[in-house]
Amino acid sequence: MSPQLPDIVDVVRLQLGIDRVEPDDRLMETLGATSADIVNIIATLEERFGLEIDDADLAELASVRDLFVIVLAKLRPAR
Amino acid sequence: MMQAAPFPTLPAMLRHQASVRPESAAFRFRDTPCSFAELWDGITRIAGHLAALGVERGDRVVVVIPNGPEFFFAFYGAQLAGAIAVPLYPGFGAATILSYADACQARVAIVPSDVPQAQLTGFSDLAAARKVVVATFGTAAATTASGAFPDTRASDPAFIQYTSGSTGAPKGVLISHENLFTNMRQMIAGMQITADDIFVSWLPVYHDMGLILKTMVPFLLGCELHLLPTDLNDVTRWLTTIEATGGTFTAAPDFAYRLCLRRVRDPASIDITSLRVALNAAEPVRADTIAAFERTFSLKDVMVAGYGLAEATVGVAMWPPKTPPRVDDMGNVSVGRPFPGVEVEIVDGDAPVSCGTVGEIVVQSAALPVGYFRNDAANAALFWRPGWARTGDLGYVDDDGHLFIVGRKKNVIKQLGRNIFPQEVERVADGHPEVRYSAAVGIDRGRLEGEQVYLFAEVKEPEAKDKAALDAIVIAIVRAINDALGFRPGRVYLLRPKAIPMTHNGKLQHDRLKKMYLSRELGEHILHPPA
Repeated sequence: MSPQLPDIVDVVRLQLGIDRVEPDDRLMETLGATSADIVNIIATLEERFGLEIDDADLAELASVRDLFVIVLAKLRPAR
Repeated sequence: MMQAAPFPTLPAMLRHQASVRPESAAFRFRDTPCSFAELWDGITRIAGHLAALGVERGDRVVVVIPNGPEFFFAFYGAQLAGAIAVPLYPGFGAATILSYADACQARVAIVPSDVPQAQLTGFSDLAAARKVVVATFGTAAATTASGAFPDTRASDPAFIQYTSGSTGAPKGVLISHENLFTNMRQMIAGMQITADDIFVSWLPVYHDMGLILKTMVPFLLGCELHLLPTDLNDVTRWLTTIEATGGTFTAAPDFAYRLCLRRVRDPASIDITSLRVALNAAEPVRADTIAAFERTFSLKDVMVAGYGLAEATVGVAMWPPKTPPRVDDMGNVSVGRPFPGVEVEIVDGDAPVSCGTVGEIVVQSAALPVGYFRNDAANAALFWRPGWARTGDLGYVDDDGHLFIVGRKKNVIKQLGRNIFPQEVERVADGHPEVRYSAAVGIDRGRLEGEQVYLFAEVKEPEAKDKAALDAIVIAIVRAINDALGFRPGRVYLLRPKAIPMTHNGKLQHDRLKKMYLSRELGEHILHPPA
């Protein structure tokens, strides 16, 4: 089953220990994630959805929605 | 033989620098210079305020201030007032700070000027109950410097370095002025540091390597020092600062160098070839990191592995620069021979082992502190023989006398260069009303993040809880750990009751739990996250 936005929001809530997380919240600025937290979020997403996210994919990462976009792009690679 | 210290104490050294080079920058923080005269002025003001508060020789003053000039004013101001400074991680919550203040029976806690009023009032009330006076940096610095301070001697403690709060009383290493000057001389000789070196550092100034090697040494030699906030989100700035200043000496844990490889978008545009030494220490050093970092940034034999611990003041050994790294069959990177004046021995229990055999590393050095502050039990376990401290680290020495670190005897977890004892995390998690027992172990997936704290918590009455209830428990645990200890665990797993392996007498078996997790034996015991 392909992940939906709420699944990504869920991973972020649990990883950061925050009850309410909105898709447009910015991981660092709004939610107070550290670089280590982001690395751990990525690791959880990779494990949970069986994909591999490389460094280059993270260049534009800012919000929770961006994470969703990154995961989707990995699941349906453009040809 | 080492020469006698030219200065009896750190404040005496800084007073000397302020008189011979008042206008030179002691350091630049985010590019803003602070001269030795300004540094000394700040130190005397804080000392004056502490004296007015009744602080006397040997009293403990907790300093909870992040990287920046305020830290140095408070840290050395406490020492000038005759007190023992107790630097703590500024990410700690109020309860954790006060538990350390209790452990060292502090008189005063100095916090930054910019703590919000409500938070400050709350903290002051909690502190007052323990007879700890809270001074904000701003109030303290407004004091006009007074003249006379108690005489302090070389053998007096300068500060207490808490290594971490494991079970029972926290272990704080009591480090004297003499220890510091001795270890600085050992490192200066071993690393061939000169007054021409240009230091660049974002390492925490409240912790041993960032404090002693990266700030005290440049203060002592009058080296240029460029200091940055401890902000790993901005690793590019670290490298561009090296480039802009012609930095020759930097240091960081392996993780930070890996992060550079991942985060820096256009490494070819950054020239850090001015570096003479990029010390890699405070967590296991990966040979891959050295190779990739040097290849990416066109360096050769600049990144060197080092080893140290607070129980030896700080520095023990560093691989010599301009020499290709030595990596063994297991992938361990040698940290080289001990610094001049330092000796290591490998022991199994009480007996030394032969060359090449793995055992516990013990260290002998003139910079060996007297031990932990008021902790007889820990002190009894610290020394192998008189003058030799046990490190709790496992390693071996090869035929050429090169030291290799292969692991740890204790269950300490090294997350991003910081030592974390499972017990301090478990204590917080066990405070949740729905948690039966918890166990924290360090897991290294071999990826960017390195070793991380994985927390396993058994939940009471799992059949009565739906996913939302389990989610709420995880969120509460993560938040409580972050509030108390200033970091979030890498992973939290909720388990069914009795899933965590224990001995007959109820001692958690961390190693066994780790093996069960890695071999996926925990499977059906895991309640959350759902498979």
